[in-house]
Amino acid sequence: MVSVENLEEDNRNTETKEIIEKDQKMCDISNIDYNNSNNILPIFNSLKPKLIFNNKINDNNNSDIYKEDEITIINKNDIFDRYDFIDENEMEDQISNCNNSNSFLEKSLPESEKLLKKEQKLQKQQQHQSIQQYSMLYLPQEIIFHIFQFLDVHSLVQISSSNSLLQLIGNDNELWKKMSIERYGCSPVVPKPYFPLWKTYFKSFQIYKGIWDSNKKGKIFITNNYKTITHAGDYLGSYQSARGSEPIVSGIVYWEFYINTLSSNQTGFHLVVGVVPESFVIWQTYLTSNGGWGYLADGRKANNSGNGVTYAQSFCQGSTIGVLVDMNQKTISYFHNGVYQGVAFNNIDGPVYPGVSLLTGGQSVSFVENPKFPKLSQIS
Amino acid sequence: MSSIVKLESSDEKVFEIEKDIACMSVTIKNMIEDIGESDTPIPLPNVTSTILEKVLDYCKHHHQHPSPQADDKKDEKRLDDIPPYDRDFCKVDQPTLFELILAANYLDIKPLLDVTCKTVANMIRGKTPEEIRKIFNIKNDFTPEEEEQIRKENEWCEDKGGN
Repeated sequence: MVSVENLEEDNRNTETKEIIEKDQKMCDISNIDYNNSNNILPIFNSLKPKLIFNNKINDNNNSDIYKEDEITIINKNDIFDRYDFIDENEMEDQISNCNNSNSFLEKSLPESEKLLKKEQKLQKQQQHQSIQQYSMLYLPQEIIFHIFQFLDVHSLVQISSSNSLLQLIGNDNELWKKMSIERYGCSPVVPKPYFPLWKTYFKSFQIYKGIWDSNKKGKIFITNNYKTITHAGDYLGSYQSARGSEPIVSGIVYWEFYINTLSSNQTGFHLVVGVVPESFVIWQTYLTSNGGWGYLADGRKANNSGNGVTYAQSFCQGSTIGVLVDMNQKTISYFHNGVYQGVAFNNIDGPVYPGVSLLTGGQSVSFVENPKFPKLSQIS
Repeated sequence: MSSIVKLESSDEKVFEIEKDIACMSVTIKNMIEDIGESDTPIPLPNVTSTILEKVLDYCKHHHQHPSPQADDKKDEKRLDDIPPYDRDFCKVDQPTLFELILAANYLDIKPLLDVTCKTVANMIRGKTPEEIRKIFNIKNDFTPEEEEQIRKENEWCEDKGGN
């Protein structure tokens, strides 16, 4: 960028001409004598109404010339050449100058020096604007924001990765608030102690990604790409447990168990689904005996106890049990066939894992593939 | 039959249109309320005649074919719910689409703004950042290091899938 103040008169004219040449398609001002302010004034006035920055089209218009500003730029390279010509930092200053320029313009009119400088700024401003019609970047930010509201999360993240301005808009807190409410049915009040921003909150929602851990298990078959466990014994009274492969350390994590096989006469502690702590290591016991948090087939819950407490609806073969572990609030909640059953346990300590205990040969439980995160709105 | 109002585009073309239709634009509605009805055309200096004509076509169509008052449920995420007329209406080149968006914004015609913005959102959907840059003439102003960092930061959303 050339600083106009420091130029000799001749240089200035050269510079001006260059600019004008670049702009010839855009504005028919090539024959104007820039040292004569009387010639420049009309241009000023004509450009004023076109001052646009980011959000607002300046309504204070003088539409005579405005219509002549319908500029045709033919190809993209042309646009970028022009764009490079503009120094972006300086643009900021110029624009803010321009935006409160009315009185300033008037004051400076007698001084051709200032006038020239201003005029050049306006030209660049004008370039800036004509690009606006052809690059998304020059849509007003409120409109980009509006477009972003229609995007799914993945697309929003993609477009936010394309450019810093779009990144800024794409990280908007309100946008992520909407996303969180729509996607997860969050209450409109972000749990502040845990999350300063809605995007962070949104990101903390996760579907459990693990499979069955082929080492951390009792006498159990694992099949179906490590998604299904089946009790390997053929007799009663032998608790066998298994756990998920990935620890849950933070965030709000959800997964679903599908009860493949469970005889109708087997209930209560016959089949326990739930969560086990890191410390759970005796795989030929049931999970609630060594620190696990379980939901029993007959609807009771139990933690470190051989006696369950009344908790929720009973489940059976064909039931889907959702498990929601909130590591921020340190709670475990269960869903039975999509219906929220309430918070079962408080004050859990991480890391934890999904866990299941089976009593009888042939009993079988699977991780549901790609479960849908439940709406939290049904919780509160 | 409502009275006729005149609208003047930036290139000084005057359009005559039923007031009811014109008032689908909240901006025009407010102007008429402010200045009262008059024979003087209402100047719309931010809208060219080409665009204004299209906008008025849109308004006329929807005036004649009022859509069942879509409950203002926030199910606007759905992108496949654009009615056929609107979908065809938005099949224009990108500069025109952007100008329609700007006009809809300036004239404050929410359904038109929504449908044009949804159209752009549809163009974005499923594209990589590089494809998006190409489609919308967006300059990549990140350094390779920044890009790498962004890519890492975005990994979380890969397994959240679409929707």
